[in-house]
Amino acid sequence: MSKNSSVKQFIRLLKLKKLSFCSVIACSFISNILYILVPLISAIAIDNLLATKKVVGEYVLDKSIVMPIIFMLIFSTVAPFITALQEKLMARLSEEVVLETRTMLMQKFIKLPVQFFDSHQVGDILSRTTTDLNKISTALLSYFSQLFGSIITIILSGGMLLYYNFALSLIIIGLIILSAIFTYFVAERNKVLSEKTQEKLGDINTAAEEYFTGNTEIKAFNQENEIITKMENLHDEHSKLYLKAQFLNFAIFPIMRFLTQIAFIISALFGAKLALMGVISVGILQAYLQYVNYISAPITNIAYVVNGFQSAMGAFNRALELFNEEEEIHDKQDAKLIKNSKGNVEFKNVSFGYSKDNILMNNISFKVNSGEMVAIVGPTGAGKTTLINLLLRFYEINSGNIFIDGVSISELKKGDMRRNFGMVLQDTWLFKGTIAENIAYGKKDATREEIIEAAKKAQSHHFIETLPNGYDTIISNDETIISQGQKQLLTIARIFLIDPPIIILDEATSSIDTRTEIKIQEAINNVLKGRTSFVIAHRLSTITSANLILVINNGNIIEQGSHEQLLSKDSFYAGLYNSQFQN
Amino acid sequence: MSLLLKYARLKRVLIIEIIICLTLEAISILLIPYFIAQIIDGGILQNNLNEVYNSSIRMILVSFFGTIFAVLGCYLCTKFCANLGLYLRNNYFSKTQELSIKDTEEFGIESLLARLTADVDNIQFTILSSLQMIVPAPLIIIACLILTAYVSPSMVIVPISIIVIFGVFTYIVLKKAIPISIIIQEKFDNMLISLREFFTGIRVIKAFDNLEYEKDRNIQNFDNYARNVIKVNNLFALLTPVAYLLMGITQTIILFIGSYLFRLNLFKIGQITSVTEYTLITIQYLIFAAFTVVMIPKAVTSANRVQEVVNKEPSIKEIENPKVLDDKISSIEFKNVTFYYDKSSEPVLNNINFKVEKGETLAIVGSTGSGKSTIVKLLLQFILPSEGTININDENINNLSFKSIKSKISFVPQKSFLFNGTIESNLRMGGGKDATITDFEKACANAQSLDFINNLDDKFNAHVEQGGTNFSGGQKQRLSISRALSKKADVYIFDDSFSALDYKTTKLLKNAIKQEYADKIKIIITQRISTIKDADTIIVMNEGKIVGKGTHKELLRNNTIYKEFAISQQINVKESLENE
Ligand SMILES: Nc1ncnc2c1ncn2[C@@H]1O[C@H](COP(=O)(O)OP(=O)(O)OP(=O)(O)O)[C@@H](O)[C@H]1O
Ligand SMILES: Nc1ncnc2c1ncn2[C@@H]1O[C@H](COP(=O)(O)OP(=O)(O)OP(=O)(O)O)[C@@H](O)[C@H]1O
Ligand SMILES: [Mg+2]
Ligand SMILES: [Mg+2]
Repeated sequence: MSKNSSVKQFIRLLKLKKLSFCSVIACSFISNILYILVPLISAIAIDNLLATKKVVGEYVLDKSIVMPIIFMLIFSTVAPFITALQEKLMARLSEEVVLETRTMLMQKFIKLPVQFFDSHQVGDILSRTTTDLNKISTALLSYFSQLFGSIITIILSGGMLLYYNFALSLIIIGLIILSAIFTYFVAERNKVLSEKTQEKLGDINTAAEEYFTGNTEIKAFNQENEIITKMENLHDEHSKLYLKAQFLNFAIFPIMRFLTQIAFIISALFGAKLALMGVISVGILQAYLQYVNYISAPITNIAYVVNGFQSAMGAFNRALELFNEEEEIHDKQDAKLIKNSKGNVEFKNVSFGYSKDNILMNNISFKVNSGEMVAIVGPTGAGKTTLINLLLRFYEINSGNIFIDGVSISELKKGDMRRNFGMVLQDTWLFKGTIAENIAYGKKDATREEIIEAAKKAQSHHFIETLPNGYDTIISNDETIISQGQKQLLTIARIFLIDPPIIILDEATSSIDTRTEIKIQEAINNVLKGRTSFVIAHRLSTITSANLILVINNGNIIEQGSHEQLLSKDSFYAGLYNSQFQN
Repeated sequence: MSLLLKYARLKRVLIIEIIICLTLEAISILLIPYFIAQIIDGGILQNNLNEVYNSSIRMILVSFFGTIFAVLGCYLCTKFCANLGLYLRNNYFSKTQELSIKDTEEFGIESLLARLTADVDNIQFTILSSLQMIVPAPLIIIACLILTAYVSPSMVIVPISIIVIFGVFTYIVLKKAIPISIIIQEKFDNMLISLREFFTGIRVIKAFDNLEYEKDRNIQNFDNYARNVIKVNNLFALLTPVAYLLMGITQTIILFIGSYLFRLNLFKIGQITSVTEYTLITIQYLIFAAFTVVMIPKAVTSANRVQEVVNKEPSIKEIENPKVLDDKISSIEFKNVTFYYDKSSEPVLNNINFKVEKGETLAIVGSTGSGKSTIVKLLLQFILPSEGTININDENINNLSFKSIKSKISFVPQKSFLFNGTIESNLRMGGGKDATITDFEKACANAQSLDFINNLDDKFNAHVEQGGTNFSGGQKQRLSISRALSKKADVYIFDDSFSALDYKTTKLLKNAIKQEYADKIKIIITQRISTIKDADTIIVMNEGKIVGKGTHKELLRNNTIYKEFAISQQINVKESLENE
């Protein structure tokens, strides 16, 4: 996607809120006209007052003054209500625009490939989605209403100026053009600076997120002072950019005011000359100058608003950049559904590399029949997890095919396809929520009984019960309320709740002690029964009963067969297997 | 708020300079209408071109200097706020590093982040806007009041009552807004929490086909946040209309009363227009002030949130003037150590006793959740014993400087975390500034990671993603071990650090450690009996207690739990015992 389309995104966003935006503009229009009328009526009333004074010498509350006062009263009470309506609309609109963008971003995020999450730092995406977007709502809220008020005043007063004297108006038109150019350059610069400032703030967020996450390591390695220095440098850089950006943001106001004052003086001088020459009447000049005075404030204001808006756009741009990220390959229109796969899996000439020029797997082929257990073994870094990643279509293969029940997975709907798998991944992941919710992650409507049943199978019931709030204890990925092994037990418990045709266990019991493991194994075996399964384990004793053992080294399958077959030969597998028992 | 006051005190000169600049600016703003009047009334209306020139020149001068002061004031204000951000962030971040792990967990990473970035940003921006909007306002308003009084003393009551009414109204709105602002910041944290979970758990989420669910959950959080923001916005939405209402009504009242008095010949038309004019300026500035007042509740909340962290007493602190551990660590001893997270619950560790000396290997095995990692946390002073003492070189560690202890201990955590950067930058955390590539190569050779590092295109310069996501489970773990081995320490602790390694690699690693780190203290937590067969002492843990202590053979002979571990790992007990 091109850079252009991010602008389109914003326009599309505004279009979504077309009605509200138009209402706000309409309200602003009406109320501003009313506000401008009030002093006008007041002037008429004063004129009337002066006129009647001459005729009547005593006090009468006559129509000439009562009518204007009544009108003023009506206008000045009605207008604020319209303003209130406008402000209420804006109160909602400003935040809804941001909410809408966030929602769209979230919809984008779910379409992004795993690759994206591998290569982006959490803190960076967080700041783009939260802090950066907030700038736009602040800007909308504080600038948008001002903008229209000012435009209307400029149009009305400008009309009056032209009406009074065209030649003199050229000065003001010149002023407007000059300030527009000036504002344009300042605002462009401001946008760039603001984007840089926000980027630095994003860097602060990214770095701090990482340091907070790696807190244990930092403390253990006495790195506190080092990272404090690093952060202080970032803070310092940010503060310097902030100074520049905000100065530009606010300094435009007095400078623009100065320009308008100069314009006033020039108008006055020229006007006075013309008046003295008798070209225009003094009365007209006076009225004219009054309007010049009137028009100055909104010109200054608009410059300020536009400048501020551009600064917010700088931040907004950072969020919009995320829309340009390349998405996962979309499911085909006619993508097939498989609800209940039989569990036949085949890899055919699969080649893959995490980066295009670095092929890890070459021409991998194997076949698993429904109900069989496949063990994937091999030294660390051989490509075992990668094989699973490919099966789940977390990454796209370079060439070859992966079939489930004879259908290539690229023909299937990703979500549906994945629902056929139940898995325990190598890295445990828990979210902030109760233990019960965490166990029920694959089946949200599970009853408490089912959850307890699953926990019991995963040998977790006992320790959960000893926690202060039992199943309702709040846990999270970062916290250490439960031990590493216990976290793994919970992720195992998840698969006891779902009923998928294919099970994947990637080092599912690596942090669990072997006594507990044996107890869980029974439950796991029950689950595996009749299902296709892929098991990765370094404790090879757990996989001796596998129908097929794939031995992987350097990304390639170097041996395959059953435990007995492989062990009988002088195989790589035999070496791995026996190393368990040697000193 | 005390941090803000401290900063203000620090920068009092700057504040005075700002006030001077802004005052001068305000004065110029007040003078300009006077000159305009002069040009029109004294010059043009009188047909006096000279007066027009003179007044114009005076106006230009005042306007010019006013602008200079305004821009200068603006610069100083911005500088004040830029430095404020720096000051707050530096203080805040150093504090987060003083806090214990438990303290940090209580705040939560997301909330700590939000405070560092968004909250400080709020404070900065609010103060910046207030300085420029609110500071000139009182000056100008007071000037308007004086001028009104000058024109007509009795009329002063009009602008004063407006200020009072508007003030009271603003106060009520603010009071209502503050509690919502507190909620808003919490909702902001929640937004970060679920988003961050989404990013870190993407594989599991995809695997369980929960993308839609997570999307909804996140959008729900966005929505909750937005709804509360709108609530506050709605409160403030009334501020400007009320100001306008007051403006319109006063204009009418002034006209009404003015015309009455005018008819009675007590008032001149000029007086009506001037009073109206001054009142309008007053209200204009009230509206300006209202724009910034809107931000105040958020900023107050933010300031309190930052302050909360800065004020937090670390739950774990060194004693004053701790002894610095100069010698090498030659022994570590746990004496009757008991630990519980809170008194009411079962202790996590119960009466732990052991001693390990220079050159020895202590192995800890035991069931999941039996308290093995807790022992290490105690030793590294991430937590403090509830009862009993831990001694290093026969000195209670509570009396020692934390840093001096940690500088002599190297540690591989159970869940390894690598930092964004390169392999080298990660190793440097252990090796320090002076370590050479040769040092790293040696450490990596021992950690069995050298081979795969050398296979990478960039070797030690290879890029590492945050958390090490671009490496396999076992590679991550070996990098983490390499980092620990890069550090020159007296004690090496491995908390279940071989769990993702195959047995062959583990064996090589174990042998390397045995040879290269012979005179060090090694504490190895593991599930694999084969790894620790030749440890000097093996501790068997169960439910927080030591249920067995001895060598491999001794335990095989007389410890049922250990025997069960061995059997569950296909170790032939009989054979092992006879084997010598
Ligand atoms: N996200 C990634 N980006 C780039 N390279 C990767 C990524 N994940 C893994 N690799 C590389 O691919 C190779 C295979 O990794 P994989 O995770 O499949 O190993 P594994 O067999 O599961 O090892 P282990 O037993 O250590 O878990 C390794 O060299 C690893 O560095
Ligand atoms: N903050 C806490 N509050 C209450 N209990 C806790 C807290 N942190 C840990 N625990 C409990 O302390 C016990 C010991 O945890 P520890 O991490 O030491 O176990 P471990 O032996 O290392 O287990 P594993 O082999 O799984 O790593 C666990 O049962 C855990 O539930
Ligand atoms: Mg793996
Ligand atoms: Mg542990």
